[in-house]
Amino acid sequence: MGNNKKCDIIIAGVGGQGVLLCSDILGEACIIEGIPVKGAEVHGMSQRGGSVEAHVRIGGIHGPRIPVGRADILIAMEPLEGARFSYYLNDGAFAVVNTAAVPLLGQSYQVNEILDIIRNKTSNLITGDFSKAAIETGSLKTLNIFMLGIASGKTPLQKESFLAAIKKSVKEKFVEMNLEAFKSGTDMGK
Amino acid sequence: MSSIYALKGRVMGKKYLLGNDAIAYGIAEGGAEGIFAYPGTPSSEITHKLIELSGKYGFYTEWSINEKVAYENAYGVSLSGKRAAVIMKHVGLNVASDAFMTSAYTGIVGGLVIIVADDPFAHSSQNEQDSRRYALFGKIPCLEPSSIQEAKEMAVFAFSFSEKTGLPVMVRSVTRISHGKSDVSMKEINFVHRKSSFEKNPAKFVMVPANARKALKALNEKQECMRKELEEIPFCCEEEGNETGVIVSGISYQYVKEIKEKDNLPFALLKISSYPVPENRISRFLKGKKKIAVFEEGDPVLEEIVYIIAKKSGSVAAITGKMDKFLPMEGEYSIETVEASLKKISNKPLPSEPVIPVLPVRAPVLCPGCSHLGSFYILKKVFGKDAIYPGDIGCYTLGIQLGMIDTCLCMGAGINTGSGISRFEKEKPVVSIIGDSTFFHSGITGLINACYNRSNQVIAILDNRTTAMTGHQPHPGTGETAMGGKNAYIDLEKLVAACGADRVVTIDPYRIKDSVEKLEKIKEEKGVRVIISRRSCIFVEKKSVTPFYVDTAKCTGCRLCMQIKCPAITFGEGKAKITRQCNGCGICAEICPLGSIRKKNNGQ
Repeated sequence: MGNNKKCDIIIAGVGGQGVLLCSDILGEACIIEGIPVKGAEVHGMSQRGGSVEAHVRIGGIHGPRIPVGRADILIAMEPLEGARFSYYLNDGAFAVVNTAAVPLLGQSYQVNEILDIIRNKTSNLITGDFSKAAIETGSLKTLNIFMLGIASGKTPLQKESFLAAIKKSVKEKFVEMNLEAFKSGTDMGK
Repeated sequence: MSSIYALKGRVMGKKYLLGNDAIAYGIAEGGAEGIFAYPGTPSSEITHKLIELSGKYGFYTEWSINEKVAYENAYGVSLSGKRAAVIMKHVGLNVASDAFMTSAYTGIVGGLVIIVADDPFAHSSQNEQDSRRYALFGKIPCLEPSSIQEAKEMAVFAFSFSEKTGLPVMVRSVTRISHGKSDVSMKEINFVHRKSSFEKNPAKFVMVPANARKALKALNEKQECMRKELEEIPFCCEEEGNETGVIVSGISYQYVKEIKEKDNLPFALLKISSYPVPENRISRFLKGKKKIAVFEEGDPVLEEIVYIIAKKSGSVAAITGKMDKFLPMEGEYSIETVEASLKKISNKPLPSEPVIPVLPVRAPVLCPGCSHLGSFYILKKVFGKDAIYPGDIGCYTLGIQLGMIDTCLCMGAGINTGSGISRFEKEKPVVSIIGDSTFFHSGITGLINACYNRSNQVIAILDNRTTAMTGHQPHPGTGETAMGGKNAYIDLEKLVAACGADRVVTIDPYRIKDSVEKLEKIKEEKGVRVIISRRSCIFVEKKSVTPFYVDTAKCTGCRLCMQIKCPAITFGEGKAKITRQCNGCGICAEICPLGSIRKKNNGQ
């Protein structure tokens, strides 16, 4: 991880998995702590089931995008999408990768081969079928927050800031469910 | 008239905002009382946020049916003395350009701000045109933010600057500003409502030739005053350095700053924030420089100007940028491109090239249960894969993956392209495809022309009851308005009939057999035959979904269901399989010849 409170995070997934909400929560947590933050995301056509990436730069004061080879954390909600953005990681970066694949129309891939691409970049990674885990703790819809929970301990942000940011960013009736998912995630990340 | 919004207001702490949201706050802070927009990536969220804010501050926000309509509405608000904003994506300005060009001649009354979001790399667009060219073409000022904070502040500043110059002012965003995010310092919004005060002044506002000639002279005379004002624009900044200078405009400034600070590079730096550029400032910056590099996204607009200023001021600096192929002409700049270029001009070792893994591409697709999947299946079944399918702009452009979109030029072009092709094509049927929102945007004129001039084509209006691609904005066919009003909706069938269509057939794209039967009847007819294929987008009509499953005992693996290209249907071990992505449309169940696709009951 970078010095002081700098930390560059890439969140990767497929349209509809809630990549952008993760980015919102990280940003809100920075505001709560008074840390500068920048980010970049994908909207529009690519959201229709395509690859979605969000960059969040905790402590960021300039560019919205993380330079290649300098990301500290990768949160990948889908293995192929994790591998796609793995070249952004720096040496020793932390990665949390969901092994539950979202199939491509008319193409197939071996999850293990795909995970090796990420393993070649970093050995500091947690993998697992987090879709299943999210369903077990409540709903597949909380996969994003569950995985954010796993990665949260590796960021310079406080747990309380995350909790407050979730309350601020999620619709009221889903707050409890997401706080639960976040807590389950943080336990797994320990 | 108050023109110092930028200086007023209490600081209200920080928010983490999408660039477009920040621009929306700037428009509200600037005091726009009338806001008009047509959705388009990457600009749409600006209007979404303004709709949210309109209740609180009492301003008016509208989804207009196209950008020209939006522009002219905003112009009208401005003529009545109030501030107005018009918001669009870059290609939207092509649609609005007729009004835009002459509004510079007449000038404006209340501040009129045009927010245009360019899309370098065409992430979600049909081209990468550079709106700064339009500002220069129209002879109006253009402000170009280099950060999200600046985008908000420029939006505020643009209103007062518009009133100072008497001209519409453009703020040019790009994807990385509009869809970037940042902590943003907020200000309290003290919204001022003005009295509506249209004053007759035909010599100024009626552009008959005699008045237009005078207006052009006045516009040309304004240029000097505009340039002078922009010499002192507060957003411009400069850092001293060695004999190498970097001149930068827009978001590229952030990349340049990041690399300059990281590697402690000693070049001098000048950030440009407006067009016309501060010529004297650039001229001073060029003094004593041996080398100048220009960074900007889009066309080499700034670079061309720097060449002219260098010539005028007798600078001997070697200028590099896009024109000598040092930097790419196309796409957006990455921080990697900027880093490599800055190191080259600073004579530093270049960073190593990253190894990018080669992986299967996950292209955007139509959603499971999308009504367009049904429409395409039906059209292909009836008219065949060899029919000619001129297309248009919307989610259904993704029909290119099914071989069902043969052209896509601009909003509304499909019907007219189809008319052109069918004028001489006698063998193959021509079936133009257009969405409901696009039809209201610019399809109606094409339909009227096709009917009036006796075109021989089928026009399929895929009516999914929303503007789906850009985030589900309402349109006249829904009757709902931006601010939540429920007005009388425009009846598409009646409208199409009134335009003169020879035949109008409405189908439900979820009912394959029934629809195919209906269309077979009009296939051999002549003239303009309009199909309205109506079924709400799955995001609009949210209802509980009963998914389908494949009875593997019955499935013979004929792959007929795979032809729909539904993302929820996969194939493995000789059988079709329906994943949990299924939205329960039932198209596959209807076409399965063996009845092996069935609705799930509880517990299955």
